[in-house]
Amino acid sequence: MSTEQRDLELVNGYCTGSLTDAEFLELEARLRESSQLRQLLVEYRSIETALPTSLPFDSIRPSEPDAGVKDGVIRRLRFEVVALAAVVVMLAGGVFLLLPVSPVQNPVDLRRIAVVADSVGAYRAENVAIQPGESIAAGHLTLLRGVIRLDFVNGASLAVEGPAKIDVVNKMRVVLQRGVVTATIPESAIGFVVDTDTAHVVDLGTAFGVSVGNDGTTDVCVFEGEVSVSRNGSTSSEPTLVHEGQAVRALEQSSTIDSTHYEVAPFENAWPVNSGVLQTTGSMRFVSPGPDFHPGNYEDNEHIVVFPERTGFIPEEAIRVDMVDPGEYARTDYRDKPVLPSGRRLTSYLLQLDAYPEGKNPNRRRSVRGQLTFANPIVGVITMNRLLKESEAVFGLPDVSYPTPRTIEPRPEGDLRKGFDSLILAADRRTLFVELQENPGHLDQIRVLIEAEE
Amino acid sequence: MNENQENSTDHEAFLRLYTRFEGNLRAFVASLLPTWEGVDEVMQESSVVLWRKFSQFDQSAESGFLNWAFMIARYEVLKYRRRRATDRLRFSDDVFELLANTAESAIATQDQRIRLLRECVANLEPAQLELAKAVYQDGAAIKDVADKVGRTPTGLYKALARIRNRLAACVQSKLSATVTEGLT
Repeated sequence: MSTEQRDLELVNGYCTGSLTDAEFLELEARLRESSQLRQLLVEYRSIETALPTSLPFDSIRPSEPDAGVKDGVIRRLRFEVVALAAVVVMLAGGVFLLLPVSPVQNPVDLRRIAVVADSVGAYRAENVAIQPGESIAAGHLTLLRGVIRLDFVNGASLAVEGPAKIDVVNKMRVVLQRGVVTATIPESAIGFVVDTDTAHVVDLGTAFGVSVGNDGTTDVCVFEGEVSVSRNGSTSSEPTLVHEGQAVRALEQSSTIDSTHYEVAPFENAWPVNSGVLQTTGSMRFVSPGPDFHPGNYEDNEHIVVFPERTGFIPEEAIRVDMVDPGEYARTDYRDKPVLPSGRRLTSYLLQLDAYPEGKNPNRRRSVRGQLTFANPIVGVITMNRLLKESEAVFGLPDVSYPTPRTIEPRPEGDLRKGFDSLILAADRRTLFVELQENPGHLDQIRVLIEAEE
Repeated sequence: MNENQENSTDHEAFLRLYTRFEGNLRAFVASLLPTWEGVDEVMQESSVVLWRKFSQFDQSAESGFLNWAFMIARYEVLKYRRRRATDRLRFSDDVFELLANTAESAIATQDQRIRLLRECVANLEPAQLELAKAVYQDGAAIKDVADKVGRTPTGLYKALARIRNRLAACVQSKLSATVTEGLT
């Protein structure tokens, strides 16, 4: 093979990212000695950059209908419209979104990076409501108030609580200028980065929260797994590994990453949205984000605490439940309970009121009520002790000992006495109203099964 | 002119220049980084910095925009390289400098090359055109395309190499012809 042919091979291998380490070193050596090869590499990359806009859009279609490719073209064109609209908005409103978009770009730029999966009272700059389903391209987002959940194309999920200013750089990186985010990062997005002025946070497969205060202080709390945190703006800063249950802080005036108290209060509004719970009101509270919090060890006798269980799980067996339709729960016989067929993708949550005796009046009877709204429809609610046990085998967290017995006492028909429990599934099928009365030392639990996204 | 009007004029001026030269800037960055993901990230960062510093740019000398943009993009590539210091395909500093200089000087004929590339694309075989569109226009992964057309990824890498070689040779040949015509 001639040197020229070998050069072509190396440059093409570089373009497709298929070079071995040895070949890459060979290319480097050749680039050092040959200005011609440097020009060749620059030309090839220039061709690759220009190809998306140089190829015809409609001249030839595949000989057989090709849904995947066709879909790609449609998505791309739709995105171009959005991008152009963004430019118009920029000029008309004097608002500059970080990405100045030209009419046609590399398709990688044109794909949406994330979608607004949920929006809870969220407004962007100029008081425009943010709607679920909105596409998020690279650029800046000012969130005046509320919480949104951004689902990235690579599976990363970020809840952002306003007021916040955030730059979405690409599918693997955001820059948080101010505000609070919580993140759940699946394997497909390991390496996801949250940058702030003072900290460079790299996910290592985990769930975590980052907040940036008005004074520029960055706090990082790791709920599960671990993250790497280094000081932004300091070349000498070694990354610090932060494990679940730990927290670190980066102050503007300091050049180090310092350990700090594991304080999750700043993340308690955003974190439920990450977990598919849009709103809790009254005495309903989503469990604090953190490692090893489960129904057996979580101490709170003033609230109905919501614990996430299995996510996006497809049970192989049918699941018997207490209620599936909107309305108020009434006691029924076991054999009359509705059954959810197997093979449906579900996410499970456990609601718990644990009235353990405590304080000056340990024998006080607890009476709490609250409302809980999920992002997705509720497909089944389980309250009966036997059904809770049965479903625990399917949806319960492994290695967690679920406390028993659990009892919900709905009001018998026609009984007007006080002191019964009430459970109402709203017509929107996403909201649950719960009122529980419990004697000290007793426990109420309700398992809620939600339709999971595919 | 009030502040809002000034901002709006600045936006328009910036967008006009950025849109005009974005392809050149992207080609410059792509010459220095092996992955499109890296190119995208640096382009995003560069666009932000360019906008933030646009007030410092002398708009009376529009022709200087690209050199100014190259300087900023070069710095952003360096920052990206520092963040990705352990990447496997990362040129040594000396090779990086050589390539950056070559990429900057390539601007002289780049616009003409892109015009010629459009002509050359018309000469591709239908199957080559299909493959190029799937990969470069639709952004499909090689493995997915390989699955669809029943070929191996290695076979497609080779097919893509032939497409690039053919297009590069065609552009070079047309460019040489243009230069020759100009001389006669």
